[in-house]
Order: sequence, then C-alpha cells, then structure tokens
Amino acid sequence: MTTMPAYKAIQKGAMTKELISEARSLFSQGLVERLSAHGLDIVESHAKGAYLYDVDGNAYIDGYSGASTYNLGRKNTSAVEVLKQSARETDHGNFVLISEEKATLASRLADFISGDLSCSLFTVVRGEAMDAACKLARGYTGKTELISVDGGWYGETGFSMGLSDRGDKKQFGTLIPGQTIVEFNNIDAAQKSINHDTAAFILEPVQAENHCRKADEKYLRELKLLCEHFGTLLIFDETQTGFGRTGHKFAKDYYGVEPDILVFGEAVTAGVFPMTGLVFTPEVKTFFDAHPLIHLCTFGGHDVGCRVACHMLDQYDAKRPWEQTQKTGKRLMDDLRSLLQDKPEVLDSVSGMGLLVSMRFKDRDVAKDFCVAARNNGLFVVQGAVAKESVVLRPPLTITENEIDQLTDIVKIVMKKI
Amino acid sequence: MELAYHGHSGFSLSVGGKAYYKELFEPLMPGCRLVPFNDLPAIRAIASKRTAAILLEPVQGEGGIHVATDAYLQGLRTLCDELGIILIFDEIQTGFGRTGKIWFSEHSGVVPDIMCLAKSIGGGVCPNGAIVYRDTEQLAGYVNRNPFFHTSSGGGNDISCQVSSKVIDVLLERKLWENAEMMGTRLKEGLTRIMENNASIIKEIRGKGLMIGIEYTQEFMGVLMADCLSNSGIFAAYSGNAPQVMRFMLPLTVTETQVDEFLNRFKKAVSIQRLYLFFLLPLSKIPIVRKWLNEDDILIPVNVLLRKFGM
Ligand SMILES: Cc1ncc(COP(=O)(O)O)c(C=O)c1O
Repeated sequence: MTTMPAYKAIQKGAMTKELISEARSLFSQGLVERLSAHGLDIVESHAKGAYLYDVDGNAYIDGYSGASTYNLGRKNTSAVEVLKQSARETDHGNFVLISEEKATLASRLADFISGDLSCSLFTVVRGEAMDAACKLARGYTGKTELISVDGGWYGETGFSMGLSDRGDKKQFGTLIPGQTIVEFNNIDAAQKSINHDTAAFILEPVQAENHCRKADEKYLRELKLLCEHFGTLLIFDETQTGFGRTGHKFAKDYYGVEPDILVFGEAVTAGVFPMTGLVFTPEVKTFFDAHPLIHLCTFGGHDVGCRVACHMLDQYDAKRPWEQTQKTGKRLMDDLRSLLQDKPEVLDSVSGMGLLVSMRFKDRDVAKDFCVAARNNGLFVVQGAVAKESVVLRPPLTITENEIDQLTDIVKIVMKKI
Repeated sequence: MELAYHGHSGFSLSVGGKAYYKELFEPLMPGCRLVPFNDLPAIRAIASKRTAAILLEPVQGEGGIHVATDAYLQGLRTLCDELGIILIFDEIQTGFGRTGKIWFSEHSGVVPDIMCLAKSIGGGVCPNGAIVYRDTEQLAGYVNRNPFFHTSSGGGNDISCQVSSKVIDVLLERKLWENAEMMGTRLKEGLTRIMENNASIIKEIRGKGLMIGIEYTQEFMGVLMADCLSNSGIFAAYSGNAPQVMRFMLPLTVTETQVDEFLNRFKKAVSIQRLYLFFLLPLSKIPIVRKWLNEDDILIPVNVLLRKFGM
C-alpha cells in the first residue's frame, strides 16, 4: 500500500515552465495557450496509483485516467513487469499471421465478456476500432445506413468523426455518406429513422464526453428490439464505460442489453500498451469467414500488447474493480451532489455512473475556470469533449475511499474559487 | 493513386486503390479520386484550385513496388505550388532508411508539405505513428488555431515516444540507410542473375534500397512462390494490391552473409516453382483455367494438391 500524498496547493515550477515554453515551437503556440487556459498545463514526470507527479514534484489526483484507460491505476506494477518481460521475449509479430498471443487474448476476451460476443478484432486507437465496427456492420448486413445519436464521441477517423457530435467536422469535407444522427433516448426518433437499409445503430450506453448522460433502460431494450426487427446491428462504444468503469464489468451488463458488436478501449491493457478492439457475435463473424484479411491493421494484435492484455484480464478477474467502483462511485456522486445546494448559480447538475461522473456548470467558461482551479489545487480533470460546460471525473478504479474523500475536499476548495 | 494503400480506417480507405478492400463498405468519402501512378498528365487533367491534397506513397508498397520517378515528383511539386495544393507523402513503408536514404524524398529532393510516418517508427516494439508538416503559415497556422483538431487516445503515448526516439538514435548512429543501400544493391543484382536464367517465371526486379519487388510473369505465381519460399525457409508476402508482385523488405541490419543465404534459398524456391509450372503452365494457356488460377479460392486447393505429390 502506498501512502497518499497530502493535499498541497500547486507551485508552478521552473521545469514545467521550461518544457511548456519548448512546446511552443515544437507543437504550437496555440496548443500551449489552450492547455494553460484549460488547466492542462501539467507536464507529467511519473505516476502511481491514483496520482500523477509533474516534473517539479507536485502531486495531482488523476481525475482523467487517460480518458478511462488507467482503470487499474497508473503504472500498475505487474503490468509494467509483464510489458518488460514480453518486450524481451517477443515483438510486434506479423500482423497478417496468426500468433499464439493473438489467439490466447481472443479466447480470454471471449471468456471475460459475458454473452455471445466471442469473436474479436484488434486495433490500435479507438476511432479505428469504431471504423472497423461500422465496416463490419455494412459488410455483414449488406446495408449502408449508419445511425447514431446526438452527444456521441467516437474518435477522429473517417467513420467515427462522421458519427460524432462535433461542431468542427464540416471543415474536413464531405465525410462518409449514409450517416445520420438522431435524438438520444428518444425511441420515436430511432423508430422514424431505422429502416430496412440500416446497417447499424451506434451509441455509447453512457455518453462520457456529454455530461455522462445515461441511456434509459427502456430505451436500450426497445432499441434492441427495433434493431432485431430491421436486421440492423446494435453497436455499443464501451471504450470509456468498459472494464468496470460504471461499477459493472461492462455497461451492457448493467442494462442487460446485448449489442452485436462492442468496441473496447485501452483499458484492456490498463493503459500500458496502446491497444483497442472490437468483439462481436459468431453470427457477425461469418462476414470475415467469407472475406478474410479485408480489414488490416499493422499494429493490431501486437504480440507484446496481447500478452499485456491477457495479464490485465487476469488482474481484472482477480480484483473485480467494478465491485469497489459501485461503492466509491456512489460516495463520489453523493458528495458532489451535496454541493449542488451550495452554489446553484454555477453548478447545474451532477450525473454519471460508477466512477464516470460529470459536473455540469452554468457555461463552458465556468467549467474551464473549474479545471484551472483544480489544476492549481492538485486535481487533474478535463472538460467534456461534447458538453464543454461539463467536467468529467474518472479517477483510476483502484482509488480508495480516503482518496475519494481527498478528491471531494479538493473539489470543495475549487468550488469556493470559481 | 490507383493501387495505393494507406490503411483501412475511413479516410485512408477512401483514398485506397484496391476495390476488394472498399467495395463492401461503400459509400466512402466522395471527394477522393484515383489517378494512375507516375502519370503527370493524368493528375494535371483533374487537379484544380479546389483540390485540397495530392497523396501518394513515393514507392507504392502493397501496390507492387512502383517507384515514383524524380520527374514525376518534381512535376507534382510544381503542380501543387501552382494551385495551392498540399502535397502528402505516405512514407510509412519508405521512411526511416528503407530505400537507402532516411526519407525517400531525399532521392529527388522534392519536399512534401506533410509526411506520414508509422511502422518502423516503433522499432517493432511499440505502435506509433505521426505526421510531420512544414512550418508554413497555412499548415502551422491551422494547427496553431486548432490545436485539438486531431486528438488520439493512444497516439503519442509516452512509452512509444521513448521507443521511437531511440529508434531514431540507433538509425543515425549506425547509419542504417547506408547498409540498406549496399545490401539492397547486392540483393537486386543477385535476383537479377536469377531472373536472367528464369525468364519464364520472373518478369522484373525493381525497387530502391531494401524495398524490392519481384514481378512474376503471371498473377497466380505470387501465391505459388509464397508457398515455395516458405518450403525453402523464407517468409514472404505477395502484394495485397498486386498478387503477381512479391515484396522483399529485409531488416535494414541484414548482413552480406544473410543476403547470400537468402539468394540461395530463393534459387531453391525457384526450382521448386519450375516443377509446379511443368503442370500448370500448359494448363494456364487455356484462358478459363488461367482465370481460375488467378483466384485465391481455387489456387489454394490446387496448391494443396500439388504438395501431395511431394513437391
Ligand atoms: C504505405 C502505407 N500506408 C499506410 C499503411 C497503413 O498502416 P496501418 O496498418 O498502421 O493502418 C500501410 C500499411 O501497410 C502502408 O504500407
């Protein structure tokens, strides 16, 4: 057990300033300005458990977890050991070939994820995993239409961007045709848009970047029936909700609704190796039986990554972090909700599930001020990518109750400053 | 470009040059058009002030090792400058010393506006990928105004960046592109000698540095040769977008002895191939049979059958 660093207001140090000033020329002036304005001008030196340390030695609670990646804590000790060992013993392998590593991970995932999602495809980044899911849906169904909901965020690649709720996507030209966005949690809107030419209906069960808005249980159940009726595949993006984040192994387990394809994120390796992927039913896999090697990815199913992921699945099974997350998540949510009365003029609502919690402020400027004040008080948090007036709290699932209390204490200090 | 290969996610696939990878997933992005590679008039005919970018691999990898000529690249640069078009080189296969220079663009001296890097940037250890762009008002200005225009959860992760930095150190310390140039020449000369004695099988040897392609005289031979080579202890892939072409991309650290050993094994594989062809060549004269042979689904069982005869 590591001891928890005591709360201390942050002193911006010389090292941070120097590195940030170097970033002006290496990346861009605009980036540096934006980072500072949003409380993201932190230069990490190392990390441990629920904390990260900047190059000047200041400690912060990691309230971001690499967008729900570090579910098992920063620098998970055994993950690091397995990574080192695997890198000594093997390498990236060959992406067109089968390997023991890929096969072992595929069968471990089939056991780990409940239900019928027993087939897998490995990718590197989240957007690419979603692109592969959309392609699989089009290929399998022979249909073209892809429908998603408002408030979604899936990534930066071609299919993902078109489905995401982002204002600036028009500047990238005409994206993939045949993509429609309908109102979230509105079954009538879904019913109006789904038809016999719909390949897939795509959504996150909890919209992490959109004030952690949750799908209604009834909505998802009806959506599933609707999809079955039209021969449309249901795709869940669980890159942020998966691997225990919501207090359940996957959000689908909470809802009791099974998608045909589920997209997962880097939580599969607990963040020590870039790997994402999708799992799908044997029925959907028949498309790949008929069309092998039709979606390739050089670094997908990287042998080192597969070994790390297998090890992390063992850790998930042993630690069952979703159980603790129900408790810590509730504690965090209750504490934050109690703040609603104190400053109703700035804090508008608190929502989410498990340790995927969002505070919504009066507007995006207040949210930004919150992140800056949080940074100055030892808490690293980021605004929602869709709902910029929200700030998402998603610490590692290994965070203890004491650490949760420290986190809420910092939030209380920060609330006084905005 | 026709025969281009840039990957399988939305944008990359939309500019890809192989129908098999695209057909079942259409419609893709409508604003992408393909032109024949190394054909300046063809691209001049369709480029306009509305064109955002011209994108190519300076040596087409999956497309079958087609090397862009200096004149072509220079012509593209001029065209892009005239019309305000961004020139993008996908150096994902050619970069980091593969072709005998650190970047392929050094051969012709043509500098692209954006260069895509991946694969060997990770040293075989960690996935990584990057774009580098010129420090112009147009590009750097855009990034400056839109610093979060492209965020990626795993992109630029700290571990991969440390590995990639080391890759660059090793490349520079050991000047690996020089070895690529020398070993590439040795390999190409050896293969050319084999070609001269086997004109019925090998049509052309081409490439640059250690990025070498062998074009067989018929499409089905790529698949067959892959099999013969694996029997002789060489793992080789025929090109995804051009099955009659096989690519050889030996590690840049390869030694003379290894190149010679490679050539010996290759020679052995060619002699096995000659035996196969004793049966197949007469058959492949019949057009319908040739058509069948060029389809994987048919060739694979044929291959299995031939193997049964102990070849
Ligand atoms: C020239 C070129 N560009 C892009 C890619 C795609 O890379 P990835 O498989 O990592 O998406 C490849 C992969 O073979 C390639 O050869």
